[in-house]
Amino acid sequence: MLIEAKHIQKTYKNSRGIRVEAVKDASLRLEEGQTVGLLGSSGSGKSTIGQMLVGQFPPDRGEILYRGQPLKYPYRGAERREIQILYQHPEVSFNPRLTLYSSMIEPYRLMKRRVDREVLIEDIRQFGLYAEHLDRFPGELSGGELQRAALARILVMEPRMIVLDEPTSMLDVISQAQVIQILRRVQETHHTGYLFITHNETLCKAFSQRVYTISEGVVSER
Amino acid sequence: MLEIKDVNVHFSSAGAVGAVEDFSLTLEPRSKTVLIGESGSGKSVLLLSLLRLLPATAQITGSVLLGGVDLFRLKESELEKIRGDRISYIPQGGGNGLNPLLKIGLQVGEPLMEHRGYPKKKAVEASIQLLRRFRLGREETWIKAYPHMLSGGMRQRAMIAMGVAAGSRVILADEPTKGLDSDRIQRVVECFRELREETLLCVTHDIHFAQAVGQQIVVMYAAQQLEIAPNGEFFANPLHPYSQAILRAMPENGLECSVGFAPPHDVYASRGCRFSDRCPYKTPRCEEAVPPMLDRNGHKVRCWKYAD
Repeated sequence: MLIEAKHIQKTYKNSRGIRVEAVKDASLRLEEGQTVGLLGSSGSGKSTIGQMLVGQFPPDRGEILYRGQPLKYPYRGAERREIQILYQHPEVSFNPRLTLYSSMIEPYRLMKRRVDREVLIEDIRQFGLYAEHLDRFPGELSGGELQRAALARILVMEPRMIVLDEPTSMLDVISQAQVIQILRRVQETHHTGYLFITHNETLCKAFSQRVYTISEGVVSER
Repeated sequence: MLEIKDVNVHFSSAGAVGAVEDFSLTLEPRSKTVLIGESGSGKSVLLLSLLRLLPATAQITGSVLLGGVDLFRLKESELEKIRGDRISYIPQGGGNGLNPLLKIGLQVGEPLMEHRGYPKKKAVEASIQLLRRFRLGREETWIKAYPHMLSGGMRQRAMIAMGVAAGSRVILADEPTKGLDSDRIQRVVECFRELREETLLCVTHDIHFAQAVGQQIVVMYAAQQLEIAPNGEFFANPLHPYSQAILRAMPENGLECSVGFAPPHDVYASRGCRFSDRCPYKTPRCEEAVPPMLDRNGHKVRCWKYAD
């Protein structure tokens, strides 16, 4: 088992100070090399689950096991690198004041890998990105280009698991198919596990081997 | 009627390739036209150019005739009287075009104050009926709310109500369903179907939305129109290889990725057909010259495959 959430819950206060039970009861599991869908409408709590799995904040109750061991917040060491997230809005992953080149070299430095412009140009080609993109700022790239850049950056970290939080909902259908094709290729090579969060049932079925649904903070398996 | 003739938009910083090239389209009264194509193809720039809402760095040529008046030749003060009155623009971003500091009722009623001389109280009251037309529900409550208190779908419906408030007969809408879940998309679809008297030109990535709302489908790629066809004809028999690739990439058709990534930008300027680097049917002729827009019984396509 790659990751398993057991009866996790999350409550927070909204801007008016009212307590909101975002996740009431969520249990799910994901094997290596598997894509599991988490299907739900806006406000159902699906993104909150994804954010807990990647350690952005801890659950109030319940536990998350990674490779059989309970995860402790904040994540440190291998799990922090191995569990990554790809967001719906790729621009949140990039500093708007840095060129794509400056943003793309960050994970190479974290991984202590040698990088220069030539290395980067070679690496990003498989994501449909070219030298011309490296000198642009995030706001000068299309949604599809920026999402592919976000994915390329995550993959340098050699993740074992990626939470895919609506990664294609802002993209056109060809860009969507391209991102899915890259994800499938990575999974075949590296056996990466994906939790695919989406509101799109057709897409969820087309990409996932198993599907959980979430409604009003409660997760159930189909 | 809105007649768009040979519109070209060029940004001085963008090199040899224009953002929009030789765009021509006639929108008959009450017609619904949907513009599809991937990010960066020029769809949104086209919409903004029609109302001269682009930054000063954009060089725009061509003409846009609304009832015989060329919007590109009007003074800014004259165009201000037309925007929101005879032709409206609904920006993309799930209703993020709303002012976060003003209540919904005031914003939806604002075109009535601006163009019809309504006092503020009467305009806000009128916004209840406008929002009711698009089935917001609890309209009397929501007119007193700020935009952040509404869901993305509700904000989008409020934007549509604002667009038609002063009686605009031409609506330009940019990505009205972007980022919305399927239930909310369906409600936005119902709102657009409600626009029976209005002429609509709508940009979208959402192919289901295009099929549900558009009577005419226009496909754009790398600043050019590649195909223009009636809805049924387009979805039953798309002619351009790019249009075919779009439909094959839909999840229900297996997310097939039958075309590669777009080539580097400078490749466009040196080739014939803009799509030739990704086209599975490419011939030497495709690299020699840009194909003309060919008319096959009202189904127009820019592809050498259909030239003979």
